[in-house]
Amino acid sequence: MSGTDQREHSGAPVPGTAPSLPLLRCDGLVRRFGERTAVDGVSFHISAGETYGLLGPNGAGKTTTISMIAGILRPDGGRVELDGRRVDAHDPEAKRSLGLVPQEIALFDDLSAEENLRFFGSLQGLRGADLRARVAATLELVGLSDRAKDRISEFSGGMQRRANIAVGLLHRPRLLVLDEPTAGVDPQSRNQILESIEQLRAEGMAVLYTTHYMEEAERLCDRVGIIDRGRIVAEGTRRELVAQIGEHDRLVVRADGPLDAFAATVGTLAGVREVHVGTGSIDVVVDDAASTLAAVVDAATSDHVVVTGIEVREPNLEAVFLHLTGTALRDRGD
Amino acid sequence: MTRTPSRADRAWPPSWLLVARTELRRRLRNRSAIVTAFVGPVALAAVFGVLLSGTSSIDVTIAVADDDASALTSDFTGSLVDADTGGDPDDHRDDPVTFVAIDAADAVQAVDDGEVDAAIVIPAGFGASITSGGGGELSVIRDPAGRISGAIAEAVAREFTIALSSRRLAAATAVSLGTAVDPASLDTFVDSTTTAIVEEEPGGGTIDAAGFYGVGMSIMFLFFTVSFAARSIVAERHNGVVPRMLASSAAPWEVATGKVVAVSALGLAGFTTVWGVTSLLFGSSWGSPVAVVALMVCTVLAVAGVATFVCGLARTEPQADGYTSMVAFALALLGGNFVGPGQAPAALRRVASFTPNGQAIDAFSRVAVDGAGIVDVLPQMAALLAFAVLLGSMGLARVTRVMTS
Repeated sequence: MSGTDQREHSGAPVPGTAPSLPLLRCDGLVRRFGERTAVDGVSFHISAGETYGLLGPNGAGKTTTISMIAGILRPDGGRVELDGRRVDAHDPEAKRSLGLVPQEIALFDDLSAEENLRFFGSLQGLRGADLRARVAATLELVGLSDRAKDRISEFSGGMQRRANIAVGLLHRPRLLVLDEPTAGVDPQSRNQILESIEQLRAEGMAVLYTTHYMEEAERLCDRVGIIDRGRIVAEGTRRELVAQIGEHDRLVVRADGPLDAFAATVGTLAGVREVHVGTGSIDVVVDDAASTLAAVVDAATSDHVVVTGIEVREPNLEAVFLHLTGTALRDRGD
Repeated sequence: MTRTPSRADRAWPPSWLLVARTELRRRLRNRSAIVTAFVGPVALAAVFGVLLSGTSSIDVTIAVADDDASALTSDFTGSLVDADTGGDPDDHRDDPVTFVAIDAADAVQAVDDGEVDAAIVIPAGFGASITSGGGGELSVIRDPAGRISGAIAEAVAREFTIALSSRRLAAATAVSLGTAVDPASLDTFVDSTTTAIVEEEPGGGTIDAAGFYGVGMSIMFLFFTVSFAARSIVAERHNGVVPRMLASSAAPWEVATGKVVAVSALGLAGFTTVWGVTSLLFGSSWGSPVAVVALMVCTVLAVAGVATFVCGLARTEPQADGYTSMVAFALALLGGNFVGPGQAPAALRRVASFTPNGQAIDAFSRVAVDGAGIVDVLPQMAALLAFAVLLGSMGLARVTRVMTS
């Protein structure tokens, strides 16, 4: 995705949440299935309130990594610590800090949404009035209050996805782990899901989000780890990752008037790396398109150039992935 | 916004019970519980009840060796053997017990060789001893594995001694009253008593075919019912529900235990239904209710242990189905579910004792035939619980490993 609506998060905790030790710390995780090493020394951390994206194609090791973090699979090497407690020792207390939303619709389809939430909430230790209140609040959050009594089998695909997410949120975990939650979802439901996650992020919940959709990672995540063949090959904010591969933002300014003079003026602006004059437009390579854009428009005005259009081209994670792995992400996705 | 429940919050109900409760709720919701616990067992009981009610599947041959050959014992042996050979042969074709005469010297060998199922030996001098007012002793030779035939032989011998005692008592009473005793009247008395022995149910219980096969088929049915746990775990591993349970605070053994407990409860309900239907509608007597209930629970636990073990081997639903069918039929064949009471060859009887269903059938038969109580079948119950613990713990260990691998 390329455009001006992209968000760039700082990677710092959300205002109001104090910086602290990492909420989740994965150190050298290894998992083998027979001769095949699915996860090979994966290390990363997530701070409280941070949204971390694990981006990679199918088979890269995302789900295996998540399964070890959730205590479902025992690592062959390395360790997972959640809130200072080791998870891979099947510590129930540590697990209660985590909410898992699996890739599959991991619900009993012959039970209602409310019954599913009550069951999984009970497994998390919730009881009585507290459980009932949380079930109601969570169904409200995902927009399923009016269908609470309906069986999951009667839901649309998008509603099933939202119910799937609701179970992960029910016990108010400190870390929500979502494994490709929008896979196979229609655009409307997908947007609803992404908005829900943005809301949780705004409320300060840490999120680990796996996807092979770059636009989702770019929209949601403070930092991204690119995983390929069981290894994290790069990690950082989008800007940091782009910088790692030497890519920069571009401003394509379509204009009428003395373009050579305009290009010369723009070339003197701070943060501008290169300027190329084309037919009816100039192509400006900048460090940061957002912070340079206003100065470029001012330069056009001072040079008596009439701007007819501006296109912002930010190098995306697809380019990063292509650069790091030699293949396009979508070529190896679904 | 964060609240982490303490351990105390989740002390009760434990995770395995939550899993079991939800599993039962789902099975009631999709009606599979109704089929498993009621419809299927009622159909099972009805089929065996209608087809076999009032019939006996006992086919026992008992040899009678009369070394004494006195008038007293000849009456007895003659009434038994003649009853099986006299008149129209068609009248005896379906007789469950056949008596044949044999020489005392051949009795032991005949039982050992399986030519007869048991033998009653009347020693030489027995009649004289009785007539002179002394005691007498009958020998019953039985195959240890042929419990039913042995019980019948013992019952017949016991009834003969009762008849003799009655005759002696009547004679003594008449003499003490100064009344002349007409031997013919005593013979008539003895004959009628002896004849009644054969017609009475051996051991005081009933071993009708509907009841016997009801037990055997219930155990078979139980295997398939309890195997639902394996299929459920395999399916829910693949659709993400089991991983989600594991990601919460449930341990793998709790998930497996909950599933097994739920289907075991259904199995117990089904077993009870067969008992109720065969007893109430078809007049079968399974014996002491306390012993029957205790045996049912032990049998269900043993089968649950087997099913858990099988569950641990299966990684796909077809595997779970295949393994369950294979194990259920193999155990049914080896355990004697398909063989009528008293009809299993000696080798099969020995093999059956190493199977949970063989132990269960033996115990149920003892309760029904011998009128055994719960104390009498404690060894079988212990064996069933041993199967449950051994196979169940191995199965749970395996399931735990599979779930986290």
